[in-house]
Amino acid sequence: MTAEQKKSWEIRLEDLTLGYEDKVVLNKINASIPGGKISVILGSSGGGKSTLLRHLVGLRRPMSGKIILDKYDMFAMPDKEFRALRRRMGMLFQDGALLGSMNLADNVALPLREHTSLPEEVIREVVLYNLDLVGLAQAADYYPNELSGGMRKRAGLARAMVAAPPILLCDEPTSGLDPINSGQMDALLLNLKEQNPDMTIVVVSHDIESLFTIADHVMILHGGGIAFNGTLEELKNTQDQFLKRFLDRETIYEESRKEEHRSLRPETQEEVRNALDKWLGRN
Amino acid sequence: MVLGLQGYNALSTVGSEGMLGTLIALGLVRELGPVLTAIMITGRAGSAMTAEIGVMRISEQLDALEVMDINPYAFLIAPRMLASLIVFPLLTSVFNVVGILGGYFTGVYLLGLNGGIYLHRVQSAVEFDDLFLCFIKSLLFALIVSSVCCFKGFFTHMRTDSAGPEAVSKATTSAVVLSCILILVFDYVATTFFI
Ligand SMILES: Nc1ncnc2c1ncn2[C@@H]1O[C@H](COP(=O)(O)OP(=O)(O)OP(=O)(O)O)[C@@H](O)[C@H]1O
Ligand SMILES: [Mg+2]
Repeated sequence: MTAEQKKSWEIRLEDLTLGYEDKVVLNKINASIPGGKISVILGSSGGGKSTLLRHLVGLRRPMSGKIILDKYDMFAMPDKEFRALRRRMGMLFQDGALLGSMNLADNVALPLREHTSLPEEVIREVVLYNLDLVGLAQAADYYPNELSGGMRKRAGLARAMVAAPPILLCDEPTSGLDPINSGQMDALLLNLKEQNPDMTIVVVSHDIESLFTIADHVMILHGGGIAFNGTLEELKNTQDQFLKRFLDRETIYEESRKEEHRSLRPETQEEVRNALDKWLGRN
Repeated sequence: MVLGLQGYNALSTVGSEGMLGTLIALGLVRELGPVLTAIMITGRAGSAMTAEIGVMRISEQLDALEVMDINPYAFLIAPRMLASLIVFPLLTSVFNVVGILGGYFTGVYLLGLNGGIYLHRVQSAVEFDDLFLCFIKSLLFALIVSSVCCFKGFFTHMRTDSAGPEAVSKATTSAVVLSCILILVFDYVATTFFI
């Protein structure tokens, strides 16, 4: 490996506006995501986290502005170089996005089979190594629909990692997982980081617990812009009321408990109770 | 077989029941064989293609392929087109043979025609050009059905009337409808070219 390839890749967003058709999701954001670190992108549901990730990996083009990887302006490149650049990225999709028609081993082997002429034994070995890394060596012959959500995510991670990309993007790796599986996923990402110190990992999440476990760097999206972009330490020490509330479910819970809700009119209550009594045969 | 019954009735009004073999063989080989086979395959396999590719779209599998720099046309669509090009002519031939045997059954056993004459009519009616037209039509329909069904599935996410699983079901319906319409239209076009 040359020195140029060895160093880590930084991602810079410049005046970036993202959206769908006529709807702007993120407006003129400027930020940088440091290379060789785990960065967590946080935000409320519908805040544009997945949208940002889909643009980072080049699945959609921004409405305006630039995404700069290292020193390459992603969307100003000829198609061939753009694709070469994208090969440097691995992506873990929200539900793994494994091909349903193939078993795990074939899914993980796919990038190698398509793009290299490695002999079958070598591919098999690399695949089993990667599956073992995510704890799925025993499940190599299973099909994706025979696995739990957590296993699918881990297999998706193995597939994203098999081509050893310098940039790894993960969409909600812990959402929908029980605490044990979430913990395993966090540990997995930290292990990956340890083994590949130069790898830039971007994780989209709204799992505060996992944020504190894995993040070096944090970016918070809110209301079409960036509410925070800095290290985890800076976030912990912030005095900003909004950010504090964001991180602290306790205060939101207290506030929501105090909210007044209007209740049903007494006549309606009476009518509904009678109807239900009749249905349930209570009289 | 229905063709046998109807044809027998119609022909017997003008006193030429003996032509039944000709009617059935030409009707099947030139028109009904390729068209009905194509419509049946559309319902059975075409809809499955659209649904499968549509599900791949909404579950981000197609995005994953793109990120892995795997060309979905070569990886997913080309093999399905190739398979269709092989299967359509084969199944059309099977359909023709079964149809002609069905006509034999109706004509000879139920209506009492002479079996030898029926088969002789079949044999002398069908010429190389008819078989060639049948073959060309089945290839044409294979291209139509596989491309319509694959692309409807592939562009499931572009639908404006619905999203998610609902879009897959709408895409499947519209793929089947569009395929059937195009089959009938291009059947007409192909026939005019050959006559
Ligand atoms: N394909 C699409 N077409 C049009 N609008 C979309 C599309 N995908 C997402 N959006 C809209 O963009 C906004 C941001 O969506 P996005 O999926 O990026 O949110 P998110 O932060 O990932 O949310 P979640 O935490 O629920 O995954 C939402 O308002 C959503 O309705
Ligand atoms: Mg999302």
